[in-house]
Amino acid sequence: MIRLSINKDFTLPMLGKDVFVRLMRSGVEYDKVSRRFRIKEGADVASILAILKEAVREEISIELPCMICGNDAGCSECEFSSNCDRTSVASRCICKQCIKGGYYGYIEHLIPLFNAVKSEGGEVKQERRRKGGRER
Amino acid sequence: MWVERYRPKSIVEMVGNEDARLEAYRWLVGWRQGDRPLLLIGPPGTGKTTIAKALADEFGYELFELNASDERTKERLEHLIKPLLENANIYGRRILLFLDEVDGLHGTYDRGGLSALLSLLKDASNIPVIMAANSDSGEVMKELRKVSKVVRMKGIPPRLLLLYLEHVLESEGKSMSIGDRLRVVVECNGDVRSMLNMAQSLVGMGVSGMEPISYSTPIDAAINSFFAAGNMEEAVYALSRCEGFYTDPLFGYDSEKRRVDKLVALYSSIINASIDNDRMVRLLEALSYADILIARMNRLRIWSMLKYIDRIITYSIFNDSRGLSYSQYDMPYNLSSKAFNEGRVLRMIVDAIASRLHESRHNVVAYYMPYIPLILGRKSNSSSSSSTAVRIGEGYSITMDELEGIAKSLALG
Ligand SMILES: [Zn+2]
Ligand SMILES: [Zn+2]
Repeated sequence: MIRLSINKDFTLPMLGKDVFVRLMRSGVEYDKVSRRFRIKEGADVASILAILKEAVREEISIELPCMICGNDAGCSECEFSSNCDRTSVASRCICKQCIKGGYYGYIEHLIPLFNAVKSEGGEVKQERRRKGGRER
Repeated sequence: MWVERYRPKSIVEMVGNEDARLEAYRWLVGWRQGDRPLLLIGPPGTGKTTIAKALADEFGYELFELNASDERTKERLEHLIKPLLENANIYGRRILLFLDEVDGLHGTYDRGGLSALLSLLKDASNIPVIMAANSDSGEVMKELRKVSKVVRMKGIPPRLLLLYLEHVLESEGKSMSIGDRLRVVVECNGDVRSMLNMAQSLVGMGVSGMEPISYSTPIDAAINSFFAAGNMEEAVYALSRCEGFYTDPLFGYDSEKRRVDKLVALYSSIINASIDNDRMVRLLEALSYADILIARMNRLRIWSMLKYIDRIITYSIFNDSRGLSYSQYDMPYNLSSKAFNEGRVLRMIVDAIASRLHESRHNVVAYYMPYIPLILGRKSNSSSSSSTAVRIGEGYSITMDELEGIAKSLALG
């Protein structure tokens, strides 16, 4: 089974130049040094999956990362795996360990991220500051 | 209602789409006059409206909400929003404008709507504007993307839905079997609101276990009360009952399949009715139109529109269908469901037969269409559907060979 991780590096067997080029065009990146692949943010995962399905005989499982700990969420063993279209759901889930923290554990993980945005003053001010713009 | 009670009051309390929510938050935190509007694109139920409401709450804006596809015309957009903008300046109110379903402004049909919206966005540059769209395709969206900060939303992974469901159950002090919890999460199509509604009704009914809930009304009774209804409202209500769980669905328990079930029940009742051809043409046309709409809504995942379907069906067939009664058609249901699922296929078949027989589309729908599934489902010479088809064919002086020729040339056999 090939595990295709979203937002995380993964390896693939040799696929030939043609498949490789098609994958690159659909938003897959390749790091020559580590020889690992990565799916770019916002890439069309469904078409990447289709290309791979055509190219390899193995089963392909898409692994979403856990938004809290960053490890694989464990999608291939998930109770919802057959009812969860990982090509169309949001690009992160939560792993079996982190889900034990419950809803409040999830929220607590997010609060600092939102607070950070607030203290940075949001995107526009940031951009303006970077440009050395007209902000007073 | 749980949906109301557990509507997130701040953006951090939502589940799923963490990056999109952060981006939306970043947009409003940094917002200043003249900035681009925010365009949220994603399927229904992923929280676009909730984001707008939560942001308004959290940052002390008064939310002004408009459905862009309802207020199609240029005049309306101008009359509704322009005065609002002027007042916003006069009274110094902090207003956040939320334009829902902007993808409903069809560029080709309604050029005026789009240009009005674009000029409105220019005028509204002194207040933050959030737009929401279910679909990303088409000219309108292309234009809107150019002038907006685009944030894409996706379906919420089932595990996160379960996390939220369990939070709500715990807060309510209610319990549900794990089977029911999983089922509710799977059946809600990634829509938090429908998940909570389903869960609340399950808990309220005291139903547990994996057994489907069954209303005491089976589909034939629901359809019969539709045909017998004295007015449109009663009829709409009767139709809506077909969509509940009932004991013996032909196509399955999920709501998409139940809608097919309902249409097929109407279809079979209509084609078995002894009514004149004009009336049948009108009824079948109306039904196939409704089916095209439903197929479209399913494809685009516009669940919010589905609530109008019963109304559309009722208004279009009410008068012609008085006095009919439920009848199960003697044909393979998978065939009819196929034709019904793909309204376009139905149209294609009608067009093909029409051109082959040099008949009008109306006549084809009335005379030939109902028999095609019969012929295709025919098993050798002895089956009952075959003899029905022969009988009907003779009635219209069409031979079996002719009918079969049509079917074959359509390559449906
Ligand atoms: Zn984790
Ligand atoms: Zn999963």
